[in-house]
Amino acid sequence: MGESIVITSGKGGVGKTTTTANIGVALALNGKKVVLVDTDFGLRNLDVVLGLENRVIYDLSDVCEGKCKIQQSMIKDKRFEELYLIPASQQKDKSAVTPEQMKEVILQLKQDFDYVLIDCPAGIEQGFQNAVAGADCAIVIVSPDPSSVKDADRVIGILEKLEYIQPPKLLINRVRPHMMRARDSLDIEDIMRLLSIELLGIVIDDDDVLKAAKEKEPIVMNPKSRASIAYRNIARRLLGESVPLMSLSESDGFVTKVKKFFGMKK
Amino acid sequence: MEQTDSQFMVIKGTKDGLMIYLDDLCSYQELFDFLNKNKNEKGIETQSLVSVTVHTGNRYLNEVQCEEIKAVLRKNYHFYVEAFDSYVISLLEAEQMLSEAAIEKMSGVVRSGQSVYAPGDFLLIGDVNPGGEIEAGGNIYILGSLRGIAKAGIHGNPNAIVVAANFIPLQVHIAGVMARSKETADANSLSSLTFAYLNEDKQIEILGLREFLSDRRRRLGK
Repeated sequence: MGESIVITSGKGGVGKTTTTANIGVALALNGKKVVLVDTDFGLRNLDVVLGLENRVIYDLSDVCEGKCKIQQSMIKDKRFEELYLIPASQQKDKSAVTPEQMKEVILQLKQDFDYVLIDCPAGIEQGFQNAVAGADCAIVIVSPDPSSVKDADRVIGILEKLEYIQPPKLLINRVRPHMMRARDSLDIEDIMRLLSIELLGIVIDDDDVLKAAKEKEPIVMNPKSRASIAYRNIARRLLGESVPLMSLSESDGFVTKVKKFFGMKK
Repeated sequence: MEQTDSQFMVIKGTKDGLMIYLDDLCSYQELFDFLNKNKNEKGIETQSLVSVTVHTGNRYLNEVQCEEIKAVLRKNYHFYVEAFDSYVISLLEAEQMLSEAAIEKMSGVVRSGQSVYAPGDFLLIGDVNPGGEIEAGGNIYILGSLRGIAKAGIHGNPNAIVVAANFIPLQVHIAGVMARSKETADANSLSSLTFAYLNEDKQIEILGLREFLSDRRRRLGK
Protein backbone atom coordinates (compact mmCIF):
# COMPACT_ATOMS: atom_id res chain seq x y z
CA MET A 1 0.00 0.00 0.00
CA GLY A 2 1.52 3.30 -1.09
CA GLU A 3 1.34 6.76 0.39
CA SER A 4 -0.76 9.62 -0.95
CA ILE A 5 0.59 13.14 -0.57
CA VAL A 6 -1.34 16.29 -1.41
CA ILE A 7 0.66 19.34 -2.46
CA THR A 8 -1.16 22.52 -1.60
CA SER A 9 -0.58 26.19 -0.74
CA GLY A 10 -3.79 28.20 -0.58
CA LYS A 11 -2.35 30.97 -2.70
CA GLY A 12 -1.79 30.49 -6.41
CA GLY A 13 1.49 30.88 -8.22
CA VAL A 14 3.83 29.70 -5.49
CA GLY A 15 4.81 26.57 -7.40
CA LYS A 16 2.46 23.73 -6.47
CA THR A 17 2.44 22.16 -9.93
CA THR A 18 6.18 22.59 -10.50
CA THR A 19 6.85 21.05 -7.11
CA THR A 20 4.50 18.13 -7.74
CA ALA A 21 6.22 17.37 -11.05
CA ASN A 22 9.72 17.66 -9.64
CA ILE A 23 9.15 15.65 -6.47
CA GLY A 24 7.40 13.05 -8.59
CA VAL A 25 10.33 12.81 -11.00
CA ALA A 26 12.83 12.79 -8.14
CA LEU A 27 10.99 9.89 -6.50
CA ALA A 28 10.93 8.08 -9.85
CA LEU A 29 14.70 8.68 -10.12
CA ASN A 30 14.97 6.82 -6.82
CA GLY A 31 13.24 3.86 -8.43
CA LYS A 32 9.82 4.38 -6.90
CA LYS A 33 6.56 3.79 -8.69
CA VAL A 34 4.82 7.17 -8.77
CA VAL A 35 1.55 8.54 -10.10
CA LEU A 36 0.81 12.26 -10.26
CA VAL A 37 -2.84 13.30 -10.03
CA ASP A 38 -3.84 16.75 -11.28
CA THR A 39 -7.00 17.99 -9.49
CA ASP A 40 -6.94 21.54 -10.86
CA PHE A 41 -10.08 21.17 -12.99
CA GLY A 42 -10.42 23.76 -15.71
CA LEU A 43 -6.83 24.96 -15.28
CA ARG A 44 -4.78 21.82 -15.69
CA ASN A 45 -1.05 22.37 -16.02
CA LEU A 46 0.73 19.30 -14.77
CA ASP A 47 0.61 17.73 -18.25
CA VAL A 48 2.32 20.83 -19.67
CA VAL A 49 5.07 20.85 -17.06
CA LEU A 50 5.82 17.21 -17.82
CA GLY A 51 5.56 17.72 -21.57
CA LEU A 52 2.73 15.19 -21.92
CA GLU A 53 0.09 17.59 -23.21
CA ASN A 54 -0.44 15.81 -26.51
CA ARG A 55 -1.10 12.42 -24.91
CA VAL A 56 -4.18 13.33 -22.85
CA ILE A 57 -7.22 11.25 -23.85
CA TYR A 58 -9.18 10.47 -20.70
CA ASP A 59 -9.04 12.52 -17.52
CA LEU A 60 -9.84 12.32 -13.83
CA SER A 61 -13.50 13.27 -14.23
CA ASP A 62 -13.96 10.44 -16.74
CA VAL A 63 -12.60 8.02 -14.15
CA CYS A 64 -14.89 9.38 -11.44
CA GLU A 65 -17.91 9.20 -13.71
CA GLY A 66 -17.02 5.67 -14.71
CA LYS A 67 -16.52 6.53 -18.39
CA CYS A 68 -13.16 4.78 -18.40
CA LYS A 69 -10.93 2.60 -16.26
CA ILE A 70 -8.23 4.18 -14.11
CA GLN A 71 -5.56 2.46 -16.22
CA GLN A 72 -6.94 4.08 -19.37
CA SER A 73 -6.59 7.58 -17.94
CA MET A 74 -2.99 7.10 -16.84
CA ILE A 75 -0.38 8.60 -19.13
CA LYS A 76 3.04 7.01 -18.94
CA ASP A 77 5.90 9.48 -18.76
CA LYS A 78 8.25 9.45 -21.75
CA ARG A 79 11.40 9.41 -19.59
CA PHE A 80 10.52 6.98 -16.79
CA GLU A 81 8.96 3.57 -16.85
CA GLU A 82 7.34 3.96 -13.46
CA LEU A 83 6.02 7.53 -13.59
CA TYR A 84 2.41 8.15 -14.54
CA LEU A 85 0.09 11.14 -14.78
CA ILE A 86 -3.67 11.36 -14.40
CA PRO A 87 -4.68 14.71 -15.89
CA ALA A 88 -7.54 16.93 -14.74
CA SER A 89 -10.38 17.83 -17.03
CA GLN A 90 -9.88 21.06 -18.92
CA GLN A 91 -13.57 21.48 -19.80
CA LYS A 92 -15.38 20.69 -16.56
CA ASP A 93 -15.19 22.65 -13.33
CA LYS A 94 -14.43 21.69 -9.76
CA SER A 95 -17.92 20.38 -9.04
CA ALA A 96 -17.48 17.59 -11.61
CA VAL A 97 -16.15 15.24 -8.93
CA THR A 98 -16.94 14.76 -5.25
CA PRO A 99 -14.57 14.16 -2.31
CA GLU A 100 -15.98 10.61 -1.95
CA GLN A 101 -15.15 9.80 -5.57
CA MET A 102 -11.64 11.20 -5.12
CA LYS A 103 -11.11 9.12 -1.99
CA GLU A 104 -12.11 6.02 -3.92
CA VAL A 105 -9.78 6.76 -6.86
CA ILE A 106 -6.79 7.56 -4.63
CA LEU A 107 -7.37 4.42 -2.57
CA GLN A 108 -7.30 2.36 -5.75
CA LEU A 109 -4.09 4.05 -6.93
CA LYS A 110 -2.38 3.42 -3.60
CA GLN A 111 -2.70 -0.32 -4.21
CA ASP A 112 -0.49 -0.15 -7.29
CA PHE A 113 1.89 2.73 -6.60
CA ASP A 114 4.48 3.62 -3.95
CA TYR A 115 3.57 7.30 -4.10
CA VAL A 116 0.43 9.12 -5.21
CA LEU A 117 1.13 12.85 -5.50
CA ILE A 118 -1.97 15.05 -5.69
CA ASP A 119 -1.60 18.50 -7.21
CA CYS A 120 -4.12 20.76 -5.46
CA PRO A 121 -5.73 23.83 -7.07
CA ALA A 122 -5.36 27.26 -5.45
CA GLY A 123 -8.02 28.27 -2.96
CA ILE A 124 -9.79 26.41 -0.17
CA GLU A 125 -13.11 25.63 -1.85
CA GLN A 126 -14.48 22.51 -3.51
CA GLY A 127 -11.30 21.84 -5.51
CA PHE A 128 -9.24 21.86 -2.34
CA GLN A 129 -11.74 19.60 -0.56
CA ASN A 130 -11.52 17.14 -3.47
CA ALA A 131 -7.73 17.17 -3.47
CA VAL A 132 -7.28 16.55 0.26
CA ALA A 133 -10.03 13.94 0.55
CA GLY A 134 -7.81 10.99 -0.28
CA ALA A 135 -4.51 12.24 1.11
CA ASP A 136 -2.52 10.61 3.93
CA CYS A 137 -0.16 13.53 4.33
CA ALA A 138 0.27 17.04 2.99
CA ILE A 139 3.04 19.32 1.82
CA VAL A 140 2.30 23.02 2.09
CA ILE A 141 4.21 25.24 -0.33
CA VAL A 142 5.00 28.77 0.71
CA SER A 143 7.02 31.53 -0.90
CA PRO A 144 8.75 34.24 1.13
CA ASP A 145 5.94 36.74 0.70
CA PRO A 146 3.46 37.77 3.44
CA SER A 147 0.28 36.92 1.54
CA SER A 148 1.57 33.47 0.67
CA VAL A 149 2.53 32.89 4.31
CA LYS A 150 -0.88 34.00 5.52
CA ASP A 151 -2.70 31.73 3.06
CA ALA A 152 -0.43 28.85 4.02
CA ASP A 153 -1.32 29.50 7.67
CA ARG A 154 -5.00 29.23 6.82
CA VAL A 155 -4.49 26.02 4.87
CA ILE A 156 -2.39 24.49 7.66
CA GLY A 157 -5.22 25.35 10.05
CA ILE A 158 -7.70 23.46 7.87
CA LEU A 159 -5.36 20.49 7.38
CA GLU A 160 -4.71 20.21 11.12
CA LYS A 161 -8.45 19.87 11.67
CA LEU A 162 -8.62 16.85 9.33
CA GLU A 163 -7.78 13.89 11.49
CA TYR A 164 -6.99 11.45 8.70
CA ILE A 165 -4.09 13.57 7.44
CA GLN A 166 -0.72 13.55 9.20
CA PRO A 167 0.57 16.95 10.38
CA PRO A 168 1.48 18.92 7.24
CA LYS A 169 5.08 19.62 6.26
CA LEU A 170 6.40 22.87 4.88
CA LEU A 171 8.30 23.51 1.67
CA ILE A 172 9.66 27.02 1.20
CA ASN A 173 9.86 27.74 -2.50
CA ARG A 174 11.22 30.62 -4.58
CA VAL A 175 13.80 31.60 -2.02
CA ARG A 176 16.18 34.33 -3.09
CA PRO A 177 19.17 34.08 -0.77
CA HIS A 178 20.60 37.51 -1.60
CA MET A 179 17.30 39.21 -0.71
CA MET A 180 17.02 37.26 2.52
CA ARG A 181 20.53 38.20 3.47
CA ALA A 182 19.72 41.86 2.86
CA ARG A 183 16.48 41.45 4.89
CA ASP A 184 14.51 42.54 1.81
CA SER A 185 12.24 39.51 1.98
CA LEU A 186 10.89 37.37 4.80
CA ASP A 187 13.60 34.96 5.87
CA ILE A 188 13.33 31.29 6.76
CA GLU A 189 13.27 32.14 10.47
CA ASP A 190 10.30 34.52 10.09
CA ILE A 191 8.29 31.96 8.16
CA MET A 192 9.09 29.09 10.51
CA ARG A 193 8.28 31.17 13.57
CA LEU A 194 4.85 32.01 12.21
CA LEU A 195 3.84 28.67 10.75
CA SER A 196 5.61 26.44 13.29
CA ILE A 197 5.37 23.13 11.43
CA GLU A 198 8.05 20.72 10.27
CA LEU A 199 10.28 22.00 7.46
CA LEU A 200 10.63 19.57 4.57
CA GLY A 201 12.91 21.63 2.40
CA ILE A 202 13.92 24.92 0.84
CA VAL A 203 14.04 25.48 -2.91
CA ILE A 204 15.96 28.39 -4.35
CA ASP A 205 14.40 30.56 -7.04
CA ASP A 206 16.66 29.59 -9.89
CA ASP A 207 16.57 30.94 -13.47
CA ASP A 208 17.02 27.35 -14.59
CA VAL A 209 13.51 26.54 -13.29
CA LEU A 210 11.92 28.89 -15.82
CA LYS A 211 14.24 27.67 -18.53
CA ALA A 212 13.32 24.07 -17.78
CA ALA A 213 9.63 24.96 -17.85
CA LYS A 214 10.06 26.32 -21.36
CA GLU A 215 11.79 23.10 -22.41
CA LYS A 216 8.91 21.18 -20.76
CA GLU A 217 11.44 19.17 -18.85
CA PRO A 218 11.27 19.20 -15.02
CA ILE A 219 14.26 20.99 -13.51
CA VAL A 220 15.10 17.97 -11.40
CA MET A 221 16.41 16.24 -14.55
CA ASN A 222 19.29 18.72 -14.61
CA PRO A 223 21.64 17.56 -11.85
CA LYS A 224 23.66 20.76 -11.78
CA SER A 225 20.92 23.21 -10.83
CA ARG A 226 20.61 24.12 -7.16
CA ALA A 227 16.81 23.88 -7.36
CA SER A 228 17.20 20.39 -8.73
CA ILE A 229 19.44 19.34 -5.83
CA ALA A 230 16.87 20.80 -3.43
CA TYR A 231 14.07 18.73 -4.98
CA ARG A 232 16.20 15.60 -4.91
CA ASN A 233 16.94 16.19 -1.24
CA ILE A 234 13.24 16.65 -0.53
CA ALA A 235 12.47 13.36 -2.26
CA ARG A 236 15.13 11.63 -0.16
CA ARG A 237 13.61 13.10 3.00
CA LEU A 238 10.22 11.76 1.95
CA LEU A 239 11.86 8.36 1.56
CA GLY A 240 12.97 8.58 5.17
CA GLU A 241 16.61 9.61 4.82
CA SER A 242 17.82 12.46 6.94
CA VAL A 243 19.41 14.96 4.60
CA PRO A 244 20.71 18.23 6.03
CA LEU A 245 19.32 21.48 4.62
CA MET A 246 21.36 22.94 1.82
CA SER A 247 23.34 26.05 2.66
CA LEU A 248 21.70 29.11 1.12
CA SER A 249 24.91 30.97 0.39
CA GLU A 250 26.19 30.34 -3.08
CA SER A 251 29.66 28.92 -3.16
CA ASP A 252 31.73 31.55 -4.90
CA GLY A 253 33.55 30.38 -7.97
CA PHE A 254 37.03 31.56 -8.83
CA VAL A 255 35.85 34.23 -11.27
CA THR A 256 33.42 35.67 -8.76
CA LYS A 257 36.14 35.85 -6.16
CA VAL A 258 38.38 37.77 -8.55
CA LYS A 259 35.54 40.10 -9.47
CA LYS A 260 34.83 40.66 -5.79
CA PHE A 261 38.46 41.39 -5.17
CA PHE A 262 38.38 44.14 -7.76
CA GLY A 263 35.07 45.44 -6.47
CA MET A 264 33.21 44.54 -9.65
CA LYS A 265 30.61 42.40 -7.90
CA LYS A 266 29.17 42.59 -4.48
CA MET B 1 -37.11 50.10 61.51
CA GLU B 2 -39.37 47.34 60.43
CA GLN B 3 -42.80 47.53 58.93
CA THR B 4 -44.89 44.41 58.64
CA ASP B 5 -47.51 44.51 55.93
CA SER B 6 -48.68 40.98 56.39
CA GLN B 7 -47.15 37.57 56.68
CA PHE B 8 -46.50 37.67 52.89
CA MET B 9 -44.45 40.82 52.58
CA VAL B 10 -41.87 42.40 54.86
CA ILE B 11 -40.21 45.71 54.10
CA LYS B 12 -36.85 46.43 55.67
CA GLY B 13 -34.57 49.39 55.43
CA THR B 14 -30.96 48.48 54.83
CA LYS B 15 -27.94 50.66 54.20
CA ASP B 16 -28.32 49.97 50.48
CA GLY B 17 -31.97 51.07 50.41
CA LEU B 18 -35.33 49.40 50.86
CA MET B 19 -35.45 45.62 50.74
CA ILE B 20 -38.75 43.77 50.28
CA TYR B 21 -38.82 40.21 51.58
CA LEU B 22 -41.54 38.07 50.00
CA ASP B 23 -42.84 34.99 51.72
CA ASP B 24 -41.38 31.84 50.16
CA LEU B 25 -43.73 29.22 51.66
CA CYS B 26 -47.10 30.20 50.19
CA SER B 27 -47.96 29.42 46.59
CA TYR B 28 -46.97 31.92 43.92
CA GLN B 29 -50.61 32.54 43.09
CA GLU B 30 -51.40 33.37 46.71
CA LEU B 31 -48.51 35.78 46.86
CA PHE B 32 -49.45 37.45 43.60
CA ASP B 33 -53.12 37.77 44.54
CA PHE B 34 -52.11 39.30 47.84
CA LEU B 35 -49.89 41.89 46.17
CA ASN B 36 -52.51 42.57 43.53
CA LYS B 37 -55.36 43.01 46.04
CA ASN B 38 -53.63 45.17 48.60
CA LYS B 39 -52.73 48.74 48.03
CA ASN B 40 -50.14 50.58 50.02
CA GLU B 41 -52.55 52.95 51.76
CA LYS B 42 -49.91 53.99 54.23
CA GLY B 43 -47.56 54.82 51.35
CA ILE B 44 -46.36 58.27 50.61
CA GLU B 45 -48.79 60.24 48.52
CA THR B 46 -46.21 61.51 46.03
CA GLN B 47 -46.21 59.93 42.61
CA SER B 48 -42.46 59.48 42.48
CA LEU B 49 -41.30 55.87 42.48
CA VAL B 50 -39.28 54.37 45.30
CA SER B 51 -36.42 52.07 44.33
CA VAL B 52 -36.39 48.73 46.09
CA THR B 53 -34.71 45.35 45.91
CA VAL B 54 -36.94 42.29 46.14
CA HIS B 55 -35.70 39.24 48.01
CA THR B 56 -37.63 36.10 47.19
CA GLY B 57 -36.04 33.88 49.84
CA ASN B 58 -36.00 30.23 48.81
CA ARG B 59 -38.48 30.77 46.00
CA TYR B 60 -37.37 30.59 42.37
CA LEU B 61 -39.14 33.07 40.11
CA ASN B 62 -38.91 32.68 36.36
CA GLU B 63 -38.64 35.70 34.08
CA VAL B 64 -42.39 36.01 33.49
CA GLN B 65 -43.11 35.89 37.20
CA CYS B 66 -40.42 38.50 37.90
CA GLU B 67 -42.06 40.81 35.38
CA GLU B 68 -45.49 40.28 36.97
CA ILE B 69 -44.20 41.07 40.47
CA LYS B 70 -42.38 44.09 39.10
CA ALA B 71 -45.57 45.37 37.44
CA VAL B 72 -47.84 44.83 40.42
CA LEU B 73 -45.43 46.44 42.86
CA ARG B 74 -45.18 49.44 40.61
CA LYS B 75 -48.94 49.77 40.17
CA ASN B 76 -50.04 49.23 43.74
CA TYR B 77 -47.10 50.37 45.84
CA HIS B 78 -45.17 52.83 43.66
CA PHE B 79 -42.10 50.66 44.02
CA TYR B 80 -39.56 50.43 41.27
CA VAL B 81 -37.81 47.04 41.45
CA GLU B 82 -34.14 47.53 40.81
CA ALA B 83 -33.12 43.94 41.30
CA PHE B 84 -34.27 40.54 42.44
CA ASP B 85 -32.32 38.67 45.05
CA SER B 86 -32.77 35.07 45.97
CA TYR B 87 -31.14 32.12 47.71
CA VAL B 88 -31.83 29.90 44.70
CA ILE B 89 -30.80 30.05 41.03
CA SER B 90 -31.56 27.75 38.14
CA LEU B 91 -29.11 25.08 37.04
CA LEU B 92 -28.64 26.91 33.75
CA GLU B 93 -27.61 30.12 35.49
CA ALA B 94 -25.30 28.18 37.78
CA GLU B 95 -23.60 26.49 34.86
CA GLN B 96 -23.18 29.80 33.10
CA MET B 97 -21.65 31.38 36.19
CA LEU B 98 -19.35 28.41 36.54
CA SER B 99 -18.18 28.63 32.94
CA GLU B 100 -17.63 32.37 33.27
CA ALA B 101 -15.48 31.82 36.31
CA ALA B 102 -13.46 29.03 34.71
CA ILE B 103 -10.22 29.36 32.75
CA GLU B 104 -10.37 27.61 29.40
CA LYS B 105 -7.00 26.20 28.41
CA MET B 106 -5.67 25.39 24.98
CA SER B 107 -2.32 24.55 23.49
CA GLY B 108 -1.55 25.03 19.82
CA VAL B 109 -1.58 27.71 17.19
CA VAL B 110 -4.71 29.73 16.43
CA ARG B 111 -4.19 30.14 12.71
CA SER B 112 -5.56 32.53 10.12
CA GLY B 113 -9.32 32.12 9.74
CA GLN B 114 -9.72 30.28 13.03
CA SER B 115 -11.66 31.66 15.96
CA VAL B 116 -11.82 30.38 19.52
CA TYR B 117 -14.23 31.44 22.25
CA ALA B 118 -14.29 31.04 26.00
CA PRO B 119 -17.14 32.30 28.24
CA GLY B 120 -14.64 33.02 31.01
CA ASP B 121 -10.88 33.49 30.93
CA PHE B 122 -8.76 32.02 28.17
CA LEU B 123 -5.26 30.65 28.54
CA LEU B 124 -3.40 29.84 25.33
CA ILE B 125 -0.07 28.06 25.25
CA GLY B 126 0.92 28.87 21.69
CA ASP B 127 0.55 31.64 19.17
CA VAL B 128 -2.28 33.60 17.61
CA ASN B 129 -1.32 34.17 13.99
CA PRO B 130 -2.48 37.12 11.85
CA GLY B 131 -6.11 36.49 10.89
CA GLY B 132 -6.70 34.30 13.95
CA GLU B 133 -9.02 35.48 16.71
CA ILE B 134 -9.61 34.81 20.41
CA GLU B 135 -12.82 35.92 22.13
CA ALA B 136 -13.30 35.63 25.87
CA GLY B 137 -15.85 36.83 28.38
CA GLY B 138 -12.98 37.43 30.79
CA ASN B 139 -9.25 37.87 30.52
CA ILE B 140 -6.99 36.50 27.78
CA TYR B 141 -3.57 35.14 28.67
CA ILE B 142 -1.24 34.10 25.86
CA LEU B 143 2.01 32.27 26.54
CA GLY B 144 3.32 32.88 23.06
CA SER B 145 2.97 35.49 20.35
CA LEU B 146 -0.20 37.47 19.83
CA ARG B 147 -0.14 38.48 16.17
CA GLY B 148 -3.87 38.28 15.45
CA ILE B 149 -6.95 39.66 17.19
CA ALA B 150 -7.81 39.37 20.89
CA LYS B 151 -11.23 40.34 22.24
CA ALA B 152 -11.47 40.30 26.03
CA GLY B 153 -14.54 41.06 28.13
CA ILE B 154 -16.86 40.66 25.15
CA HIS B 155 -19.94 40.62 27.40
CA GLY B 156 -18.99 44.07 28.62
CA ASN B 157 -16.54 43.46 31.45
CA PRO B 158 -14.34 46.58 31.44
CA ASN B 159 -11.88 45.05 33.89
CA ALA B 160 -10.81 42.35 31.45
CA ILE B 161 -7.20 42.39 30.33
CA VAL B 162 -5.15 40.92 27.49
CA VAL B 163 -1.68 39.60 28.25
CA ALA B 164 0.81 38.15 25.81
CA ALA B 165 4.44 37.12 26.08
CA ASN B 166 5.06 38.59 22.64
CA PHE B 167 2.59 41.36 22.04
CA ILE B 168 2.25 42.35 18.36
CA PRO B 169 -1.52 42.12 17.73
CA LEU B 170 -3.44 43.44 14.75
CA GLN B 171 -6.26 44.52 17.06
CA VAL B 172 -7.12 44.35 20.74
CA HIS B 173 -10.73 44.75 21.91
CA ILE B 174 -11.72 45.13 25.56
CA ALA B 175 -15.43 45.40 26.40
CA GLY B 176 -16.11 46.67 22.89
CA VAL B 177 -13.32 49.26 22.84
CA MET B 178 -10.86 48.68 20.05
CA ALA B 179 -7.19 49.50 19.65
CA ARG B 180 -5.28 48.94 16.45
CA SER B 181 -1.61 48.20 15.97
CA LYS B 182 0.54 51.08 14.90
CA GLU B 183 1.18 51.13 11.17
CA THR B 184 4.90 51.07 11.83
CA ALA B 185 5.04 48.18 14.23
CA ASP B 186 8.07 48.27 16.44
CA ALA B 187 8.16 44.56 17.14
CA ASN B 188 11.17 44.65 19.43
CA SER B 189 9.78 47.08 21.97
CA LEU B 190 6.88 44.74 22.82
CA SER B 191 8.65 41.43 22.70
CA SER B 192 8.45 41.07 26.49
CA LEU B 193 5.37 40.33 28.58
CA THR B 194 2.82 43.04 27.79
CA PHE B 195 -0.63 43.92 29.16
CA ALA B 196 -3.57 45.72 27.60
CA TYR B 197 -6.39 47.07 29.78
CA LEU B 198 -9.09 49.76 29.81
CA ASN B 199 -8.21 52.90 31.75
CA GLU B 200 -10.68 55.25 33.45
CA ASP B 201 -11.27 57.15 30.20
CA LYS B 202 -12.33 53.92 28.46
CA GLN B 203 -9.19 53.92 26.37
CA ILE B 204 -7.02 50.88 25.86
CA GLU B 205 -3.64 51.27 27.47
CA ILE B 206 -0.68 49.00 26.88
CA LEU B 207 1.92 48.47 29.56
CA GLY B 208 4.95 46.32 30.22
CA LEU B 209 5.03 43.98 33.19
CA ARG B 210 6.85 46.32 35.58
CA GLU B 211 4.61 49.30 34.92
CA PHE B 212 1.52 47.12 35.10
CA LEU B 213 2.42 45.65 38.48
CA SER B 214 3.26 48.98 40.04
CA ASP B 215 0.15 50.63 38.69
CA ARG B 216 -2.69 48.19 38.24
CA ARG B 217 -2.10 45.30 40.58
CA ARG B 218 -5.66 45.38 41.81
CA ARG B 219 -7.31 44.99 38.40
CA LEU B 220 -6.33 41.42 37.75
CA GLY B 221 -8.22 40.00 40.71
CA LYS B 222 -11.60 41.23 39.55
